[in-house]
Amino acid sequence: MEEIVSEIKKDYIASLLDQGKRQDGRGFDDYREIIVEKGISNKAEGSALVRIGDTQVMVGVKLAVGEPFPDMPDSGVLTTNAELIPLASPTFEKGPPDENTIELARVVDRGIRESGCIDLEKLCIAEGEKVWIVFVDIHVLDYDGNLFDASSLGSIAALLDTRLPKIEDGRILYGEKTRKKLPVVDKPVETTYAKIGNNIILDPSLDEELVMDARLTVATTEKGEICAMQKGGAGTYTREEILDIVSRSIDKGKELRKYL
Amino acid sequence: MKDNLSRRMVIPGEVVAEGDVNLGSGVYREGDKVCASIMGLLEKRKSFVKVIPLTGRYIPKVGDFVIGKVTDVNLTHWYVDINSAYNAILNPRDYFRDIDAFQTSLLKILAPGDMIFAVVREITPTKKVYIAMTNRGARLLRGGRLLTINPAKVPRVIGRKSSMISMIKKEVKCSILVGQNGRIWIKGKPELVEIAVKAIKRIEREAHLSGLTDSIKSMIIEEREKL
Amino acid sequence: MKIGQPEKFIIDGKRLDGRKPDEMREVKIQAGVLKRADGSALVEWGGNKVIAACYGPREVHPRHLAKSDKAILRCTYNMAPFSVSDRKRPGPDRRSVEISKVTRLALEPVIFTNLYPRTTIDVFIEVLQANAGTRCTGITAASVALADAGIPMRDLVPACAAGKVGGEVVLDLFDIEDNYGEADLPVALIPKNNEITLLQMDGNFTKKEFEKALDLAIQGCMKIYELQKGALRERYGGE
Repeated sequence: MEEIVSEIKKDYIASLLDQGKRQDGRGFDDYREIIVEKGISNKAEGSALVRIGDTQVMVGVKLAVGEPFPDMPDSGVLTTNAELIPLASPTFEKGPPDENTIELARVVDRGIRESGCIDLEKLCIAEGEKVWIVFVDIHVLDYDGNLFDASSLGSIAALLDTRLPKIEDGRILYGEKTRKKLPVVDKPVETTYAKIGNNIILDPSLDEELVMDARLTVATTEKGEICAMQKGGAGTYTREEILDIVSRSIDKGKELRKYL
Repeated sequence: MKDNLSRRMVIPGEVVAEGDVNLGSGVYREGDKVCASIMGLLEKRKSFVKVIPLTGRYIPKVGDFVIGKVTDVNLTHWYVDINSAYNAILNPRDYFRDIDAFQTSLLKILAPGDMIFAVVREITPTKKVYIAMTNRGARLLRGGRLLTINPAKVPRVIGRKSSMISMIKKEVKCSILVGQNGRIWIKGKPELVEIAVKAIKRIEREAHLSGLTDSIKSMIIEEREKL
Repeated sequence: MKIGQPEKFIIDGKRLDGRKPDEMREVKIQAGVLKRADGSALVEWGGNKVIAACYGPREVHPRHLAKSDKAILRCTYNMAPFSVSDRKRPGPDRRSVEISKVTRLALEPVIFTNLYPRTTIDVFIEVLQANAGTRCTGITAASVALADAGIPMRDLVPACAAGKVGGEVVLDLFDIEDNYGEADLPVALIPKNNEITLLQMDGNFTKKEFEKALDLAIQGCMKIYELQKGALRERYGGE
């Protein structure tokens, strides 16, 4: 379902931005309040709850033992999945994942995968036969804008929180976590800038997302390199705007990483 | 306002009266007992009992002014979201000037996203809600700022005999329209609109306190002096 | 004996998690935890974490589901993939479809659906962490979410299970007891007139044991009822 935005709200948000202000009083490069809690669900091998303003996303990591892909016999497997459950917003609907859900999961997945933040080769148990499969499940609980940043931050937090379960006689004892962590070697984070009129703002709230022309998400690594990007929305960006967003994203990434 | 403070909070299922009393909204009879059916504040007089809601959707009443958002248009009427369980319907003949629906596309008059100030004209037994813009004051809203509060708190924003809202309008020199459905529209100097928004949000938060008109007034004056 | 089954469930009058037979796990209820929902509640019950949201009354989509004389109630019970030991595949399965149905039937009797013809009241229950008894936790959370949304209702609906382990009737099974015990009896109740709106059972009871378990479950519901009311009072600033 699509939300219809009132013309009054559109005009109000746009004219505020032209005066250099935002609806909730933030600066253009400010996040809303961020809270990251790890170890939220004891049934998951790793979990985290991320709040950015009123947006709440829970991420759980589950581990299973399975076969590797034939072309990568000595490498563990990463699977990222998202659910926009109807509990989180009046506009979310039941049923198989829609394009927004799939986009969210894939953009978060790309940030994790392309950064190489999980050393997948260390997740090999027996080459060509048995490897750890890492399931990252993103569960959106309250949707008030900017799911990308909240979900990617939550995913990394949950991966960092993950402890391998014990294996005995080839059986996984889920109740008994070992002290062994996942081999997480980097902390990629995603930052999203929305464009409204000629203004570019970080961490769009729901109201801002509803009126935005375009959106750009940039995933950056600890070294300050870019590892994934995604443009959204029907509007356009200029070359200069994109370069500007990239350098702002690299700076903001450092700030975000402090929450991990 | 003292009786306001003595109103007791009740929870669905709670027994609030017994025997022969008249029932208002938010209560139901079970045998000899009268119970609350919603979260709210109990209002009890000699032979009358009701519960004033603390939460919940707006329930339309004929004659209420509401602020609606046009969500859809077809050949013969508009659908308007009035922040209630039901979308309202606006027929062209209830628009404030004559429209020949055969000649003009309704979309050119009101499009999805447009906000209107209208009055509830009729509610059918199957709960179809018709609104009209033929009354004095009804209009299309342009510019300004929109605010949504809990519909249950609207009476407090208006105040006894409009005392609260008149005071705010006077102090911030803005035009303010209050819909019974919890939507409020404010237009004026941006910095004064900001003060009005703050004041209304505070009324929503502190609706249960007494002497609110005076404290809101001094808050507005204080804020104005900071400008 | 199944793998992992404990030899004894009750040792010196204490259960494996240290509780007495008629003792409930610790339960915490919080109302109004989500911004977008019209009403919501979080219930932490032993190792269970369940969140419920209520939307409505609102227009029904698809429209042909609407009833001209009353609101429809739709309940969806869903488990997060990471809420259980073996990852649950996302999406509905037969178990969650059944639980959604019995949840709806447990709540419907208290709701004044006749006040809102042609609308729907939607309840979503998300299990974030499971440790036996999620359906009772879900119903408990859902009825607080409904009240928080201002839905007119006759009463709240608390739920609680009783069961049998090691030959003894006990209140509120946790996962080991649920997996290896002899019987499980989830019950939901309208406290004001003691009408039962949910009753399921699996395992085996003698008639006498059943009666004892039912009474125990009803007592459990009454304790939950007090916590539900407390959560709503706290949310709306009462004493």
